[in-house]
Amino acid sequence: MSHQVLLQKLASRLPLGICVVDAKYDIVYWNNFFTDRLPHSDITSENPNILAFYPDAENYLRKKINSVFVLNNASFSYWEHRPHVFNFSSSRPITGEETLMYQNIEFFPLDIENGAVKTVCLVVQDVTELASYYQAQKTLSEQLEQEHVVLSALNKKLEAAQNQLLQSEKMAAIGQLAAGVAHEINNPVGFVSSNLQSLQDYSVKLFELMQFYQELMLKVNHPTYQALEMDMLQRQQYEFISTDLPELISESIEGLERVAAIVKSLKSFSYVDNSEWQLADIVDGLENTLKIAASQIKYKAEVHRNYQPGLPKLYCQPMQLNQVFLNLLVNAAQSIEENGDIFIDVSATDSALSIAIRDTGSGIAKNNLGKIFEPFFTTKPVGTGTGLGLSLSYSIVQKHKGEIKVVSTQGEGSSFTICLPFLTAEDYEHEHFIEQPAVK
Amino acid sequence: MNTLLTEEQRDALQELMNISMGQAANALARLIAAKITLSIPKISDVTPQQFMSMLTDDSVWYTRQSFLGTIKGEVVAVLSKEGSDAIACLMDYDLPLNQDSRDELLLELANILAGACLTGFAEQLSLKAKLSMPTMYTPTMQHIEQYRWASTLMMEVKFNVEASHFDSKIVICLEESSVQTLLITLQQLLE
Amino acid sequence: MPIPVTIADDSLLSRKVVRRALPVDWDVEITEACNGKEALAAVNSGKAEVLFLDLTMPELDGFGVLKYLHEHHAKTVVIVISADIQPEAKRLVDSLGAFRFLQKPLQPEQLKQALVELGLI
Repeated sequence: MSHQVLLQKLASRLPLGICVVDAKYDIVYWNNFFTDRLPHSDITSENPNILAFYPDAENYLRKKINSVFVLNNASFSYWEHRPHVFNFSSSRPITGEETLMYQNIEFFPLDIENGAVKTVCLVVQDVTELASYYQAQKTLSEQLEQEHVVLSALNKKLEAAQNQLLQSEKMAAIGQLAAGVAHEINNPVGFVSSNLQSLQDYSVKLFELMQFYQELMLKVNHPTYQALEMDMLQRQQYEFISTDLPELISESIEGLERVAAIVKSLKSFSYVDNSEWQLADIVDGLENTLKIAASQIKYKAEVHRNYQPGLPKLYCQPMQLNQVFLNLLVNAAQSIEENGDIFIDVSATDSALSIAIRDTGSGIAKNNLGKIFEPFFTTKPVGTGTGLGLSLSYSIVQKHKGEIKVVSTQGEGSSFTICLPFLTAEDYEHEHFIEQPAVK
Repeated sequence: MNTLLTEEQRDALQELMNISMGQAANALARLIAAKITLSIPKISDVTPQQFMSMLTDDSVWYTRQSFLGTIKGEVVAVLSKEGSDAIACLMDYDLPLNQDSRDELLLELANILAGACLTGFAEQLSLKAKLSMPTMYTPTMQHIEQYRWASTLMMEVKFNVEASHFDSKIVICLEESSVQTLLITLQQLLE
Repeated sequence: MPIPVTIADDSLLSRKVVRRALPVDWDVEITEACNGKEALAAVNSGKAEVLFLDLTMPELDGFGVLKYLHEHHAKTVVIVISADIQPEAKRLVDSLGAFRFLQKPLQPEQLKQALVELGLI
């Protein structure tokens, strides 16, 4: 076998496409890899032109081949960037999913005369196997990446849920404590109150008795005894006592009534099973909460109520919502330095209840607005706020499938609006145990 | 520090690189129709540590391609992120570049510069060196332990396309065994 | 009388290459300069009727030398031998009055042809 025949046979059996073109892009030589893959076997043209044969790749081929002619330097084409320069079909036509062959191509100067390139050779390598393997790997690693993202998100949720659980356990403990204290106070308040009622009755009777004696003395009309009586009355400051005593008693009764009211609110607020779902009157909840927060509000702000009459009851966790109201009211009060106003508006549509709490306090800085519902975000001095109030509120509202929105202008005040849909017990039945993280 | 080379050898290598760099710049200038500013080539021998420290810049992309022949080694191209869009535009790429088209552009640029530099350099010394296809290179994934050489000769040239604020650097690194081949050939030229 | 010729290039190898490429029978007295300043000094002391000039050099580059000579209407025949072969560099060199622009690596035949064309040999 001559050397030339050997080379010809070799070239025809190579698993590589070899094509040599001249400066006019006419094909000087191509091996069987190319000719076997021609769409029609009859090559009529004497000088087949590579650009004419592969019109889809015309621009790219021209650019690449031209750069080799001009620069006298090899150039490469990668399957990652240009997978199918030549529209050859896949090496796996029956079993594989790939329909087109993935190719790496090298373009290099072949004949060079006096530094000028005469012909350029293209070597095409079928990398379909490699490409599909690589792509499968890539898909797999993308899947893994995605799963990783989902898992990390879940982890974060779990962490947030745990934090909330801790917080609500703490709240429950405080609630129980408060309920216990309230109960203990309730008894003495009860008997002191009834004793005071009796005292009031008795004092009325005693004064009537005194009146009777004084009138009797007048009838007796004895100067010595009358002088003695006057002296006694003066010494014992009877006139003062007779006006002061009833006042003292009624003031005490009033005070005690207030104590009783606070105890009652405390009891209902810190109701031990605070996660109980029930139909509840939101205005009642607000009023109870206002009593709890009264000490923080009354010296600073006047509360203006605007409740739509005839509001329907809402299926909710009233104690949890009271928490939300308390947070908002206390925040409102704290944002007011003195002589402010707090407006509470409650209204309802057919589908939802809306509670708006607006204050004329200091407002929230614009760059903080996005962060206020984040856990542990606080602008209060260290040790004053936990940074959990609003985040807890947010998650409670979310648990009610509601929304909490804030509008605030620094120096003018803030307005929080809670919108809670009217839902039924069934709507909440399929709830996840894990709650949404309290981050907006 | 150059301990491998005499001053005369260093001067000769620098001049050879200067010439091949001129050819590379001319190739690029013809392709993008813009003036390329050249600087004086740097010839040095480096340790793996020094080589690594060259690869820590995150304002650039790196490519690498190996070459085989009478001298062997690798060419690392360093291409600035700044100005690459302008170059893409000059080379008829559609903006904005996606990752594939950006890689394609960088590999093409690297191949043109490295090809012209290395071919020019080897031809002047009648040496043979054929470049393989370049690939993107992410040096942060490398560890010093994987270098199996103690010292190598590094020839570095910088290209600056002022109009586009684009910078690139071609670093030819010779395999340890090729350094000797190079020095012998160089000596023949100098005599 | 030998013709005073200066070879200005910062590279020793390049100067050597130019020296070797000069026709052996050309009667010249050669001065070497390592940068533009040395080249100008050679011109000013009458050692450079012909100047082979590189472009990228420290101190003062080839463009600077050309500019100076151009401004001072020097009679020196300047043949630029440059590694920077971009069309832009060529244009600039031509506009500054260089007689020839030769590419590195220097081909001795091209140098000889240039010398013949310029009537120097």
